[in-house]
Amino acid sequence: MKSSTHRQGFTLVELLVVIAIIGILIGLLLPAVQAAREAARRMQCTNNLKQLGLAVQNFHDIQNRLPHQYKDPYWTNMATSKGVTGTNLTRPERMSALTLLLPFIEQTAIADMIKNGLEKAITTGNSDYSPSPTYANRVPTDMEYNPFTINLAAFQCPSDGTTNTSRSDDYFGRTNYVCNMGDEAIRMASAQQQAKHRGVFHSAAAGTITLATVIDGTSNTIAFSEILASRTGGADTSDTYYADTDCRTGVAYASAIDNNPPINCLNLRKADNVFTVNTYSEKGRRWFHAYQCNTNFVAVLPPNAPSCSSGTPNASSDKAFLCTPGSRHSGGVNAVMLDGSVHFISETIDCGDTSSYGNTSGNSQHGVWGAMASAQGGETTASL
Amino acid sequence: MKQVSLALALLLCCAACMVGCGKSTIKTEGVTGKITLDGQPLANCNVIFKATDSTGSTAGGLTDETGVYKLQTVLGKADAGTTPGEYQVFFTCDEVVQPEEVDDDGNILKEEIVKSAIPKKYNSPETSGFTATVVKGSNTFDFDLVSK
Repeated sequence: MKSSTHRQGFTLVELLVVIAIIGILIGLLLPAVQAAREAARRMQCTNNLKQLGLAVQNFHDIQNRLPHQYKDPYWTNMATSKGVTGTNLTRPERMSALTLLLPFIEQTAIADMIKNGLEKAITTGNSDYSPSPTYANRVPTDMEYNPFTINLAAFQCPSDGTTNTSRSDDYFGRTNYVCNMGDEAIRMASAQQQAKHRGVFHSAAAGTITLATVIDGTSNTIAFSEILASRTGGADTSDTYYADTDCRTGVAYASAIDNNPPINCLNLRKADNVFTVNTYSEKGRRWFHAYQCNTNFVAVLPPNAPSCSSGTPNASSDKAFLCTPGSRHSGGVNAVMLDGSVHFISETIDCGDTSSYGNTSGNSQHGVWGAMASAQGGETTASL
Repeated sequence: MKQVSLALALLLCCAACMVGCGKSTIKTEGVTGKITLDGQPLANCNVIFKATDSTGSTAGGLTDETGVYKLQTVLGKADAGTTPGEYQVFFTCDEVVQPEEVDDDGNILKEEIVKSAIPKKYNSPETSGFTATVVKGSNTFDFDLVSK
């Protein structure tokens, strides 16, 4: 091999090696930059959950109880004291636990607006002011009154990035944070079914909830977790039925899902993560509404698995909901415990027997995941 | 010298290509088959494979109009089957014919009526009487249910 001591410049191979090395370094760096962006979004998301966890604690300090998801006395007493009865009472009843936490996340102005609107709805009989505006009057005539249309940053996870869609009820504010309703599919309307909810924020019809009634321990029980808000497509025909066929954001119609093994919900997932049956798209679409998958989750199928609902699309019957948490973070969801600590829950978490019909008392059938959701399951929870 | 640098460059290129690969998921084997009731294909019925040993992963599938199902697990991809192991097999085929209706006070006006296309014994892993052993490679399990 000849060598020269007066070599000038590089050989082609040397140049190629240098370019290759630089290429590799950029290749390593670029995904890292993207991951850093997602890490920042996840951090903000975690912080939002932490604030909700603290808000629940502060609510408990003042009220000596936890907020209810459905029929909370704060709203129903306000309505009944004004002489509201019957159908008109269903609207204040449907206020979510998130509405009660507004004053504790420095959103007192919105809480006051809802309160004033509620009084106005009662005195004027105009449901524009009610917390559950119907599809027909979802755009209130009083444009000064818009608490339910506000998209609060505190209720949104930046990782989701849901932007407005073609659907008309995009008009309502979204939430990515949903309340723990237990480890079974839920029904909201019938009092008999409300009593079965095993999570933290059940209906007031099932009794008052305090930190003391969470006998599994506040550090073992989830308060809020994340959900991916529904995205939509197709024509809008009613306020509850809408075709979002994405398995992560839509809610598939599964007949009798609360009387069947939860894995039946998974069976509706087809190639490319698409549902081929009728779907609802109510996940996270209204932060003020305690119904449906708007502000509820259940720990039955693991995080990022599909969600389902029973019943007939468009019918105003009592439907069962299996609302599974989900997120766009890599590999799982965040959840805040009732003690205010935030944990990352992997989508590979032990969720017990997904072919089990479930039970309404005693230990959860759905593994560690179900144990963390049940408030009074009595499980010996594995360390998180 | 040239060959060494060239080899080095190729090696580094290969290494760069492999960055980001190797996402771990469970290793599933395809499982498919046909479900019939008295010889007639059962459409829109759920088949559930309940794992009875440590290697199995509970899986489910839904039949199409011709009664054909493809299994999937929560952690695997759609229609990707399940992990090898021993399974108890059962079926659910429920349809809500009368949805539950309640009044504003939460009283039930109409009870929910659920109709099943198959006898009750097939709804439970203990009483259905079917088992399956999923092995490496493709698996086909046909099930013929009887209505009486």
